[in-house]
Amino acid sequence: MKKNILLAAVIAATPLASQAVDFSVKGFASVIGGMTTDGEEFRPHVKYSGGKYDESFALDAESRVGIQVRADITDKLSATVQVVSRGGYNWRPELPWAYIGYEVNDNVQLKLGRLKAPFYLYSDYQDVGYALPWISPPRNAYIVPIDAIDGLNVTTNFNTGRFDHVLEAWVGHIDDTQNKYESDAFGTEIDAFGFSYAPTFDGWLTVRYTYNEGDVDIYSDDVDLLNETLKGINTVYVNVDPDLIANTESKSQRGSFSGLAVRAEFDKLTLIGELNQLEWHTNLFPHQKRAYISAIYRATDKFTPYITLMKNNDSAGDIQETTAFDAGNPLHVGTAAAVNAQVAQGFGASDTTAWAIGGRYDLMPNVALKAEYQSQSSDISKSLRTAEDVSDTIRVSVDVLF
Amino acid sequence: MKNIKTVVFIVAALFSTMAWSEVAVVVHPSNVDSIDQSMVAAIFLGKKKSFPSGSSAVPLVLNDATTDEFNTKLLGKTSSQLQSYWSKLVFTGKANPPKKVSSAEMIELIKSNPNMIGFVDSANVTADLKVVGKY
Repeated sequence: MKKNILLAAVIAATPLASQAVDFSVKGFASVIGGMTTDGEEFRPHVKYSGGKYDESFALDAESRVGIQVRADITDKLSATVQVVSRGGYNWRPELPWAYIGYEVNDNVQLKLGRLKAPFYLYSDYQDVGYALPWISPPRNAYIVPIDAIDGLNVTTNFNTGRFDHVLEAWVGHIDDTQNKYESDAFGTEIDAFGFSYAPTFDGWLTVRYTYNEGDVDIYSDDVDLLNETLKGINTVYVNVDPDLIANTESKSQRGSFSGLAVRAEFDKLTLIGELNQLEWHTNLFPHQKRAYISAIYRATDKFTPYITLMKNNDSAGDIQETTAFDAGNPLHVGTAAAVNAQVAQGFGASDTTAWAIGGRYDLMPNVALKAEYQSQSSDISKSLRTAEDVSDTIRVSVDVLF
Repeated sequence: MKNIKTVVFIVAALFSTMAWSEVAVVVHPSNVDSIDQSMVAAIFLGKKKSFPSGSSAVPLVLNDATTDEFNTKLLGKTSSQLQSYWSKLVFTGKANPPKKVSSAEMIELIKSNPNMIGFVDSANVTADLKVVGKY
């Protein structure tokens, strides 16, 4: 699927390549160093488990470099490839973007190929540190571990009175059966779609809503084993809740991601908030509800300090919430307890709060320096997974465009 | 020490001259569109890709300090803000920033292409160019 689309993109571009194709090459890089000050670990990116901070200063957890080549084949047709190499992925090259773009008119743009899923307010240029007010978008709210779509994106822009509207829709396939980023305990393959709508009022107030849904196939021996065990119990003892068995099926688990974001830009003050939710239509996985609000103040033309408050409210997937659960049946109670324990080991509930204070200094027109201190605390009684939920981290960065 | 003072004086004098100069937004003489400041800003920020008449608009910027003056006066952005703005569009494939040319190239290109729009220091305006506004 993905190879076919990339191949089609190359073929589409080839016949015209000998003509006057306008190439542009641009790059970005972020060198980010940091450490935790309390001896705990902090994982700055949900996708790249290779990137971690601990008590010794590290430069490779988030540092990255990206090169983008864009070929304008005609007025309307272009081909774009972006290669990113990052420390959190052992500096192996990745292709977050590789697509053919077609401008139907001034208001409608099509993209076909490898695309980054537009889940968040800052998805599109999440890697381009220079374009961000922070070192990275608040980690807690950027929760979907996979985001490389092979598919189609249609974006429309239009204007009504004092509003500018952006409406975006995408459909595609996400193939991570090999779990190559090791971002989770298992590989996944997802057929998904999503849309977002973002009106901006008078150029300063933007509200964005997005909904995305996927049919997820899980490649996990653990999940398969759990499911087989439950089926076995059902065969021997009968009457294990069928929902409970269905919940542990490794194929066609439906998950959804929705987000609401607001950005208000005043003269010197910018307020940004996002509320993001990752939910599953069964109880195997936890429901994650994450939010942050950030205030960014342009103190001078070059210096913009910020403060961010973050809040997580995750509920563990509870097998007991299934409809046919019978609290009077010891077999149900025992099985549910075993399943819940297994699920909690992987995810667990978390009630985490965090705050961060930092700033950006524009050193040169294409170089920005940033520093940030972040402190996270968690109600650890609710979770078995504490390492990434409790930590104090200090980070500094240099963001460059070239 | 004296030398340093002289240099400082000359630099200060240069800057004050620059601050007094005007930026003239120019198009091909055949362009009859009325192009106000907000239209200029929209075209140079990649938000509008055509003139009011419907023909495509191709903006050009200068490779000298006049561009900083243009950015501040017409777009209301510092060069860092503008870099950040364009990096968002560039790295998501939405648009490329205007091409940079020299003052001589600017005049040559504008007078030979009705789709182009640019700007020059108002002292450099020639009879081949139509000025749509001075800022």
